[in-house]
Amino acid sequence: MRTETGLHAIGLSKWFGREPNAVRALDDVTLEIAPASFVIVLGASGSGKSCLLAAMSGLQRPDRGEVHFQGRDIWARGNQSAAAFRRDACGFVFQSPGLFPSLTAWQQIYVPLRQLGVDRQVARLRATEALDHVGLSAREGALPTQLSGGQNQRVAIARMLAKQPAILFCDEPTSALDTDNARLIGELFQHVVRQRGATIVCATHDERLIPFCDRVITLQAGSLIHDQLQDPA
Amino acid sequence: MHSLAQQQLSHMWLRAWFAIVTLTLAGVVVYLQVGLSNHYLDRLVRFEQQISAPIVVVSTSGTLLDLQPMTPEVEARVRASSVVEAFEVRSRSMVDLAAGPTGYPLAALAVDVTGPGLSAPRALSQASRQLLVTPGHVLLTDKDAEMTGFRLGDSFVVAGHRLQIVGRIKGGFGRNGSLVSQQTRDLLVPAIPRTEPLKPRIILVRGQKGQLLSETLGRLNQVLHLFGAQAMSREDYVRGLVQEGIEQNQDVRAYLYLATAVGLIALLIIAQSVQSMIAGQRSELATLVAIGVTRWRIGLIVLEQALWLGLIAAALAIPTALVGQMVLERFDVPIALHLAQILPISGIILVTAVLAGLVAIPSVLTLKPVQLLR
Ligand SMILES: Nc1ncnc2c1ncn2[C@@H]1O[C@H](COP(=O)(O)OP(=O)(O)O)[C@@H](O)[C@H]1O
Ligand SMILES: [Mg+2]
Repeated sequence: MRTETGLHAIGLSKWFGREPNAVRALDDVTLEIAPASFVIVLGASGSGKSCLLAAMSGLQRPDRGEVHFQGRDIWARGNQSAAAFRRDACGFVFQSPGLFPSLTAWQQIYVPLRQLGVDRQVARLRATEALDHVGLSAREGALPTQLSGGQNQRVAIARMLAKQPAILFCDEPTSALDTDNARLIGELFQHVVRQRGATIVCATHDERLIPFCDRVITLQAGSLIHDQLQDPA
Repeated sequence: MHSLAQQQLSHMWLRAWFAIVTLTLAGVVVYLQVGLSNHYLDRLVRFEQQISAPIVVVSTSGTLLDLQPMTPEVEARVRASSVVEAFEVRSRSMVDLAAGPTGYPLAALAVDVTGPGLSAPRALSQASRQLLVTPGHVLLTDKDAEMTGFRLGDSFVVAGHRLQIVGRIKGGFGRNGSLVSQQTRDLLVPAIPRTEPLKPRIILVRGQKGQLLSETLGRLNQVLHLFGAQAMSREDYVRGLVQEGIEQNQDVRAYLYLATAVGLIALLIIAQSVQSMIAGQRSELATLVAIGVTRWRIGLIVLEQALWLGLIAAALAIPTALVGQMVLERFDVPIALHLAQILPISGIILVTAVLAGLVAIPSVLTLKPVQLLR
């Protein structure tokens, strides 16, 4: 079954190296992600979480399989269509915030929007609003060195929220953070899904995020071994 | 708000300044090299580039620096040509006058100020031209005044004729650049009896009014080529002289190689610094690629950073070169920096910086946002 609005991965496989020593990072993974849901991809280190995220988000082409979004295969025209998908529909939060050391919190959001061609006035409004959304309005003039790790990660999230993506892909977003900050970000994600109707796909081994999500998918050695819906707190 | 490139540069000020200082010094070397060459080349073409005639006829044999005489037929053809409005056969142009109070001899250039005035400098004002018309009048350059000790109003006798310094001239004319009229020259230089008329080495020509220069040249050359002569524009003539000057003068050539070498080394160093500046922003730039910012936009950010390095270096190189010139002049190294060359040399500095930015572009193309995943 294929929904028009969701994200649908069909038979994704990815391997590195050659047989007989090839590593099967992904082994025929099929899954469907409903719109406006917060999905966590759980698994031990090396289980293929990041590879799944990369294939589904248009960052790295799978060796086999398709990824459908709004009825189209995002890899149909290789990197070109994948880049268009990322531009039109995706946001990314990585373990490291990847903020420009020279920009203030507000500029971290404003500058990428401008680079994406968003109108100056609109970009201003969206930057201010996104910073407010993550509770950092008071620190809009702060440089990354003047903020804590958790605050910087929230700036990185705000930068993506301002882009208003249909899907936010996160890879280990809280792994470098303490429990309080991890919880704050869990709540923030939950809020984003509820308020904005965005979808979040979050690869992590950090179980502290589980209470906030709608669904937990577990990978082991590149295979999907567990898929459980749950009621978030 | 400043641009992303500017903010990133000011953040990486140490690396940025290293690149800027290297580029500035390279620029200064180029300035001083050009200044040294200018000094030589200026003397070479000081008068030729000032003549009023837009066209010059010379022999096709020999070089411009060492012109061969032309046959009398050439002059006859120029005279007969319907595309020529006026011409002037230039033979000997320098005339020795007298030693000044310092003992240094004053020599002057004889120019035509009454007829078509083709050999007179274009920059000569109407008033100065008028002053020269009177036989015996001399216009003195600042350099000649300094060397000879002559001053405005001084007069002296040469070959029984009284000469007087009636004015001073500036602009491009230095040593031995003082002027007298051809009439004055003819007074001083007694006609030497010859069996054969003097063969001209150069004929100055002005074409008919309202006629394109290229057309006049074309029509003249159709005829002149048959007689071993050619017509060229004044600019081409001066360019040719400079070209030959560069080729023949070893110092000038050496300066040129030196500046090119310094420029290339600077390019390598700057390219390296820009590369390392970009390497320091890889993950930030890769994040932009991840969300779909096109690579050419990221390339523009890189080029903008390089451009700013170049702009700052170009701006710093000008005063630094002027200071360098002052220092070198103290050691009697003659340097002639021309205002008109500041723009092109600044341009070279900018282009070097942008080239360095272009060298860093491939590292933008290899940015892989998938590497941001853990
Ligand atoms: N570029 C690569 N080259 C070789 N092996 C890789 C590469 N990327 C991932 N792998 C392997 O694929 C497997 C899954 O990796 P990954 O998806 O990063 O795991 P996780 O994110 O769950 O820790 C691992 O065994 C890893 O060693
Ligand atoms: Mg991972």
